[in-house]
Amino acid sequence: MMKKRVLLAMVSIMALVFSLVSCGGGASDASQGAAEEAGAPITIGCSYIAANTNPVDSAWDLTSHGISEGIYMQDKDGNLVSRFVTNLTRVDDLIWKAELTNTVKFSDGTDCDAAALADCMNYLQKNNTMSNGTAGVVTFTAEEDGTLTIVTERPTPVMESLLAEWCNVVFKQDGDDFIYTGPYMVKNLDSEVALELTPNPYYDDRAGERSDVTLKVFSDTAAMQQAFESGEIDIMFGLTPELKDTFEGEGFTVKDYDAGYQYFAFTNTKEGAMEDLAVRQAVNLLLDREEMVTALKGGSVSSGIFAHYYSFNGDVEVKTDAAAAEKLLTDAGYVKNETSGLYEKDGKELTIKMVTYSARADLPILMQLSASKLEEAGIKTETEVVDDINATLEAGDYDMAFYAQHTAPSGEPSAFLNMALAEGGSRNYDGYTNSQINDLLAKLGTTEPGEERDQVSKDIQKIVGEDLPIIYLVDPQWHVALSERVADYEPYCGDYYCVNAELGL
Amino acid sequence: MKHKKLILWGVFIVFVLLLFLVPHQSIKATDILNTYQGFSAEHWLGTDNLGRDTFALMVTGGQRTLLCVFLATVISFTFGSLLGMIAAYEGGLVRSLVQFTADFVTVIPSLIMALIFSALFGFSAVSAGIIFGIGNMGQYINLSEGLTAGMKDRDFIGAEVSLGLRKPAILFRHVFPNIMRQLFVYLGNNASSVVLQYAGLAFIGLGTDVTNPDWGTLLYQYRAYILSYPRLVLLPILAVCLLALFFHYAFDSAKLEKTELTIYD
Amino acid sequence: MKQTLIYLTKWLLIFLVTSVLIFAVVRMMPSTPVDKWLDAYHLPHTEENVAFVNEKMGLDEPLPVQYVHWITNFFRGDWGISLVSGEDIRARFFAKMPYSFSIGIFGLLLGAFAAFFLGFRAALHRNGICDHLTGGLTIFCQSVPMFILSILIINAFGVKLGIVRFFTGDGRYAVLAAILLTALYCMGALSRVVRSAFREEMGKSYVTFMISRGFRPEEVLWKHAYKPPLASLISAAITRFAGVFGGSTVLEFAFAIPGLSTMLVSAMDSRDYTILQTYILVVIIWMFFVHLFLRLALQLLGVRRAS
Repeated sequence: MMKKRVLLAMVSIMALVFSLVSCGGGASDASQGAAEEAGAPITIGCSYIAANTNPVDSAWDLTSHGISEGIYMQDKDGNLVSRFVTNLTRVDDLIWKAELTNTVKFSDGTDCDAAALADCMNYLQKNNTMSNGTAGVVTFTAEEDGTLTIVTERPTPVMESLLAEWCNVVFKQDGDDFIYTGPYMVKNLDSEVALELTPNPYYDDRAGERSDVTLKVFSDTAAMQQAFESGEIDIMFGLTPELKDTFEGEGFTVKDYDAGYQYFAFTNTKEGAMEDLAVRQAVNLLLDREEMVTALKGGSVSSGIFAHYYSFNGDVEVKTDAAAAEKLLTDAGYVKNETSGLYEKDGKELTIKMVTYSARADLPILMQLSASKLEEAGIKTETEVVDDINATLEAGDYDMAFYAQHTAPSGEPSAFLNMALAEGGSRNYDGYTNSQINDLLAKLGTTEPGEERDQVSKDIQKIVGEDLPIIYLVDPQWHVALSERVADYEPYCGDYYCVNAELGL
Repeated sequence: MKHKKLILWGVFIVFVLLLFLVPHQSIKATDILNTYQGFSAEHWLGTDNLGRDTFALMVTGGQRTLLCVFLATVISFTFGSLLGMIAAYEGGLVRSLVQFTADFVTVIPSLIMALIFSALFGFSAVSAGIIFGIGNMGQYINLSEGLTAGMKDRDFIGAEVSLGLRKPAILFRHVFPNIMRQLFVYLGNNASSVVLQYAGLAFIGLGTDVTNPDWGTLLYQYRAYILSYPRLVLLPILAVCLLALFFHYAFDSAKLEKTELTIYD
Repeated sequence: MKQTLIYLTKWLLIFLVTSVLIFAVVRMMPSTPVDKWLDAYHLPHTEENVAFVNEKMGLDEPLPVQYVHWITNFFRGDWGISLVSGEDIRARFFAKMPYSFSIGIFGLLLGAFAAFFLGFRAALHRNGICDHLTGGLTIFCQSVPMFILSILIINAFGVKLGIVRFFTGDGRYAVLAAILLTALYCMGALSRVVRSAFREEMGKSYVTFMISRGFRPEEVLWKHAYKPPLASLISAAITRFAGVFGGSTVLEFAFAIPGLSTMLVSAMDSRDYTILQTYILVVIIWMFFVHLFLRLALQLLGVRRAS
C-alpha cells in the first residue's frame, strides 16, 4: 500500500516537473532556434553584453553590438573612416571645422545633422569625464551653414582619433530611451542573458536585407562550443587554438582575422630580477615567438607594439638567440650552478615571476611556452594565473606580466605610448622613465598624422625594443567559427565591432 | 579482520609517499610539436594540449588535491565533532548558537564563501581546504550533536557524572569513542566529495590557474576534450574514484568486514 | 505564543547581525567597484575618474548613511539597484530565481523520493542489486564531476542526435536536464542514509517481535518502521535544500541557464556591493523558511531533531 503511494507520489512529481518545464517557465523569451528557418535571427554566442542602453555606461559595448557608432570608426585596414564627416580641417591650434555628409539618420528616422551631433557630443563631454582625457573639455557648435565647429581645451594633432574614441558615440535622447545610428537597434535587452537586435531601417539602403540578430550570453566556453556544434548559434568568437582545430576537423568554417589587439609583456624595471637590463635582454632573446605563433595557430611575430597594418607600427626585428642570451647573463655576473643547472648570482637563484590572467585564453599559453623556454635555459620561473591582473600590476608583484590590449583603438599611436611609457601613465606600473622616449613623446603630441609622425612612433618602438620596459610577443589573429548561413562574414578589429554592418549580407 | 583495514591503509600510505617523492618531469616544460601524445616510454601517461607531461601533472595535481582534502576533512571532522558534542552536552544557549553556526555554514553556499574568502585572502589549495572544511562542518556538527544527545541519556554517563568526572574527560574518553564509529562512516562517505567541490569552483573563475593544477582543475581544463582525447579526462576521474573508494572502505568497517547482519539476512 | 515570539526575535537578530557583517565584509575586499568599473573600460585610476564613479555609485556617502539607507529600503521591499547597470535588483532576482529554485528543489525532491525507494530495497536485500547500485552511484558521483556528465548529455542529445535544443528557445530542456542531474547526484548519498536507517530499525526488537508474530518482513519494514528513515532522509535532504542557492552553479554555467549564479559571479567580479549584500539577506530569509519547514515536518513525524 505504502509502496504504491510512494510510487504515485514519484510519478506525480515527475509529471509536475515535466508540465512546469513544458509551460516554458522563466522570463526570457529568447529567440527561436537559429539556422535553417528563413527570417530566424542570426545568433551569436558571447561572454557578456551591454548592461543597459545608456551611452555614458555602455558606449563600448553598444558599438561592439552594432547599435551605436562613433563619428569616426576604424575599417578593416585600420584607417579612420566616417559616415558623418566629409572633411575635417584644422583652423587653428584649438579650433577645427567639420563638413558633414548629412546623410545619416537615427533609428527613429530623424536626421542626424550638425545640431544633433553637437548636442550628443556636448552631453557626453559634460557627463562622461572619461571623454575629457585627450584634449580636455571639447565644445561642439553647430553653425548655420550646416558645419560643425569643434573647440578643444588642449591642442591635439589628431581630431579624427578623438572623434573615434570609444566613449564618443552618436545618440539622441528621447525621454528615457536612447536612440542610435548603427546598423541595428535594440529589440529586447535581458541583462546578462540575451540581447535581441533588429535592423535599423534607416541605416542605409541595404537595411531590408539584414535579419534580426540575437546575442546570447554563455558563461562557459564548453557550453558555447556545444551550442555551435549543435547549430544553435551561428557565430562563436574567441576560439582557442585547440577549438579551431576541432571545428575545422568537424568541417565547420573557421576564419582568422587580425585582432588589432597585441600580446606583449610588461617587465618590472623597478625591482626584482628584471631590474637588470641584461636579464631583460637575455629573456627577450630566449623567447621563441615562432613557436608562439605555431601554438596560437595564427598571427605573426611582433615587430612593434601595434598591429602590422598600421603605418606607425615599428620595424623592430625580434629574434631568438640562446647563445647570445647566455653570453649576456654570464657577462652580467650570473653563473650557472653545476648541480642544479640554474643561473645564480650572489648565491641567489635567478627567478622570474610571470603572471597573467585567464580572460584572454591565449595569454596563459604564451606564458607557459615562455616559462618552458626559460627553464630550459637555466632560469627558474614561477608562474601564476591571477584573478585580478590590475591589482597584481599595481602592487608590483611580478617580473613579467603577459598582457593583451588593443594598442590603437582610435587609430593613432600616442594614446598607448603615453599610457605605457610616459611618467605617470596609466599603464606605466613600474614608474619607467626614459629621457629619449620622453622627448619623442612630446614631439608625437604635436605632430599631425603623416610620415613624420610615423617615424617618431617607429623610433620610440625601437628604443623600447632595446630598453625593454615592454617585451614584444605576438601580433595575433583571432579565430571565429561561422555557420553556413554567415560563412562570408568578415569580422575585424578584435572585438570592437563584433556585429558590423556586413553581417548577414 | 583487522588485516584488511591494515592492508588498505598501508597501500594508501605507500601511495601518498610515492606521490610526494616520485621523480617526475617539470610541469612547466611545454612541447608544441608533441601535443596529445598517447602512452609512451618518454611520457608514461602521454601529453596534453601544450605537450606537457601528463604523468607529472597527475603527480603534482595529486599533491595539491590530497592537501586540500586532508585539510578540509581534518577541519570539518575535528571542529564539527567537537562543537556537536559540546552543543548536545551543554544544551541551552550554547546548543542554539552551535546549531545556528552549523546551519549558517551549510546554507551559505561554499560558492559565496569561496568568492569572498579568495577576495580577502587569495585562492589556493590551502584556502580551498579551509573553505570546504568550514562549509562541510555543519553536517558533522548535526551528526555528532544528535549522537551525543542519544548518548547523554544513557546510564553510564549519569554514573560518570555522579562519580565526579570532569566534563572534558567524559566527552573525550567516553562519549567520543562511542560515537566515533558513526562519525567515521560519515567521513568515509563524504570526504572525497571535496575534490569535485573544488573543481566546481573553477567554473566561477576560482582556481583556474592552469599552471598550478590539481585533479579537479585538470578535469575542468580538459573537459572539452572528453570526446577527442578522453585519456586526459579519464585519468583524473580514475584517480579521484580510487581516492573515493579508499575513503569509503577505510573508514566504514562494515563494508570491509560485513558484520552488520540482522534478522533479515 | 511566547515560543513563537522568541523564535521570531532570534531570527530578526540573526538577520540584522548578518546584514552588518556582510556590509562590512564586502567593503574589506581588495578592489572596489569603482576600481573594477574603471578597469573594465581600461581607464586610468585618476582622482577625477575615481571621484566621478564614486559619486555615480553613491559610494561617496558616509558608511552609516549607506547602511541605514540600504537596510531600511530592504524592509520596504526596495532591494536597491545594481551599482554597475543601475537595474532594479529585486526584479532581476525574481526573474532568475525560478530557474535556480526549480533546479534545486525539484531535483532534490525527485532524488529524495528515488532515494527512499532505493534505500529501502538496498536495506532489505543486502548485497542485492539496489545495494550495489546505490553504493556504486555514490562513488560515481564523487568521481565524475557534474560538468563532465553535462557535456556528455548535451553532446549526445544536442549535437550528435540533434533532437534537443538546450540553449535556444526557452531553455526548457536545459532546465529539465539540470533537474535530472541534480536528482542523480543526491540520490546516491541520500539512499545510503535511508539504507542505514532502515538497517538500524531492522535490528530493533519491535521488528523482530512483529516478524515472529507472522507479519511479512517486507511489510513490517515498509509500513511500520518507515518513520525514522523518513526523518533521517528529511533531515539530510533539508540541509541540501538550504544549499539550493548556490548548488546549481555548475549546472547553470554548463547549460547556460540564466539563474542566480551568473548574477552572483558577475556581481562578485565587479564588486557590486548592493547585489552581494542583498543576496546574503535573501539567503537568510530562505534559511528561516527552511528551518520552519524542518521543524514542522519533524514535528509531524513525532521525531525530535535527529541526525
